[in-house]
Amino acid sequence: MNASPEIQTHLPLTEVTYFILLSLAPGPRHGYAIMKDVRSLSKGRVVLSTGTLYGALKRLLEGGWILRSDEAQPNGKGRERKTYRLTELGRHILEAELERLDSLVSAAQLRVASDAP
Amino acid sequence: MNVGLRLLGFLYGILLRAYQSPFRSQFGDEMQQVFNEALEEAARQGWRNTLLVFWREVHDLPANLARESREWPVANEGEYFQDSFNSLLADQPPGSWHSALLAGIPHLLYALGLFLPSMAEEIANPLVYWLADSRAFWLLVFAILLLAWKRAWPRWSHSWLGYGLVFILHQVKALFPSGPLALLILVAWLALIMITLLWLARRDWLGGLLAALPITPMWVWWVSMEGARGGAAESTLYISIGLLVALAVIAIVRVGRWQTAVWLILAVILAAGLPLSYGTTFFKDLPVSSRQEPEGWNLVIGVISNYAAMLVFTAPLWLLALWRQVRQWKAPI
Repeated sequence: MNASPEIQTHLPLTEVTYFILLSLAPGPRHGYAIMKDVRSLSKGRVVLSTGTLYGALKRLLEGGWILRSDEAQPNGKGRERKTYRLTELGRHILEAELERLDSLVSAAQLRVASDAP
Repeated sequence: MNVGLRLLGFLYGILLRAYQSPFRSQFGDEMQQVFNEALEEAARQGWRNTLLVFWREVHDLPANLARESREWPVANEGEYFQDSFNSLLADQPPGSWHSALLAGIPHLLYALGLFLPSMAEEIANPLVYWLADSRAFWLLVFAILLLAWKRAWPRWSHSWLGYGLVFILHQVKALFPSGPLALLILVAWLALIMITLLWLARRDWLGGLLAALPITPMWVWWVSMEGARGGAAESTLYISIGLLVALAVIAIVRVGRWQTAVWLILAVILAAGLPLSYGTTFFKDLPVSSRQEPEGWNLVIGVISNYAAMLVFTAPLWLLALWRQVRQWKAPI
């Protein structure tokens, strides 16, 4: 599947954006869960501060790549938390980025394999 | 949550104030909540991890602020001048004579309170001496601040708030006159002043300006007073400058225009700086009979240091003005 030219204009993604979108791919998450998931997905290499995380979330919201909604706390106790989830556009962009990365890796693997003695 | 975590949470809240108001109102509460959660989890792994969480926020702050600041005009294309920061520095509605006088009067009263006693010594009038005693001024400051608190801090009260801030140092310095603790307290006080002024100025430039102005004459005069009680001539000089600052403040509040305020303050600093600097150098630590006119480097250093003090204590305002100018250059056409 080839991404539309409009989606191609958003690529390549920054590492932070890529990991945030990837974190939201399975379903909605709140801010702290995204933070932990990004750390885990990147094997501890990308550790977000709250400022970096929310700066990125703001831009993704403005671009319509994600949506923000309230999540009621269990038992109705405590403050409502905001959760974030991917929109269709966000999902398409993530898929396009994965395709792009996949093609990069495939090309590299082909070249390395053919160069091997 | 223990005291250490609460303190870090509190400091993080201060860091959050550095973000632009629309960003803070959209994400501030949530960021604080996430930070607290991150802190609590890190605390279970030891204090080093806890400090790392806080350090990461401090480390990333400049880059994040720069990014938010740079992107703001793009995100609100066509509405750049509705940005809260620019509206913050927009012209204010002209203040009433009543509020302008209330904002201006403490500058003159302070100068009278500080320097009339030395004049009174010469004219030997105990009644004037008693009325002009600084303690009466400080009592008035606290009475006015109490009133201002009851009335939700009207703008004119910021002049008095500035004097209240300096009074704190006045008292603390009296308790710890010298030694390493005194230096630490001075540094902590300077940090408190700068944060408070920046906070006030970001909310409302005129309020920030009014609060900053008392600190300038207080600082310079206070330093000068450590060694000098020069009698009528010196007192007249300083009281005249108090009157000058008071008139400038009255004009600024009445007019309410940022440009006017900047030019007036610049004029006051230039006009007051030279005689103040010369006076503090001339009257320094010497009995009247053995005073000599300052010469050479003494004069140069005296003048520069006092101008520098004035510029430092109005720094939040200059920085805001500079920031605004840079953003105007970058604004989309």
